[in-house]
Amino acid sequence: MVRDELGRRVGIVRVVRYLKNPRTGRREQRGSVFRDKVDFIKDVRRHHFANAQLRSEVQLKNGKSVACPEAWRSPINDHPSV
Amino acid sequence: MYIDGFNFYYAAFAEGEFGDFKWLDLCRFCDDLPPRLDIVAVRYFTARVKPLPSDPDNYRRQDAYLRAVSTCARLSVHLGQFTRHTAPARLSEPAGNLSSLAKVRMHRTEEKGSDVDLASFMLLDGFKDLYDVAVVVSDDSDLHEPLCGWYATSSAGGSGSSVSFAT
Repeated sequence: MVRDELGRRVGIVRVVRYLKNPRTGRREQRGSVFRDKVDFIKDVRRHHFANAQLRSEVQLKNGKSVACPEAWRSPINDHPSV
Repeated sequence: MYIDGFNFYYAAFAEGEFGDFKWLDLCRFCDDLPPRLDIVAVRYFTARVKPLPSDPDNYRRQDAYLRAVSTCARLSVHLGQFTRHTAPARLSEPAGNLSSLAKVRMHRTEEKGSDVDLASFMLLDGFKDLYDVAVVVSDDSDLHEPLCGWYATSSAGGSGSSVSFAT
């Protein structure tokens, strides 16, 4: 509807997932349900996640702060560039 | 940008390989995605989770995350409903003393409304001429119709004529 009725471009961003092909035993990229139906499909990869991490402590508008939950902490959150 | 929160979470973090990157800055993530577009708004569709016996702190982590990502002025959080109930289901294979035809009660968690909300906002924003390009972060086939049009999957196929309504 967005494409055909409103005439807008539509893109899909999806996380690449791999499935094991039972015939070949190889890991193969799963196809998108939107293939050939949208204007573009972009796969996100590790560096997209790694380059877009919040600071381990985020300042809120009310002056308080919120910290990354301990269970979610990874070395990258403590990296000085984040 | 329209982010189907649960679809994204499961694909990337729960079942995917990016579990180390849950503390994700959604605005920055969207800005950096190809093709480089001028991202005017990010709509994030999710639902408040409920504590699990096996994970009583899950809602605290989610609450912290929602507060953190909401610091981005371009991002709005749209909350659907998260339900949990038990429902009967047949075993797919024998287990213990139970045959494969045995019925057991299973915990089922469901997130309601996010896909409908996402599709509704995408259409509404389009009608209001708020974007040139809609980018959806999801690979959920439930969104096929609102994105691609009903006749994209009809037996006629292709981009046939649209329906006109008598007024």
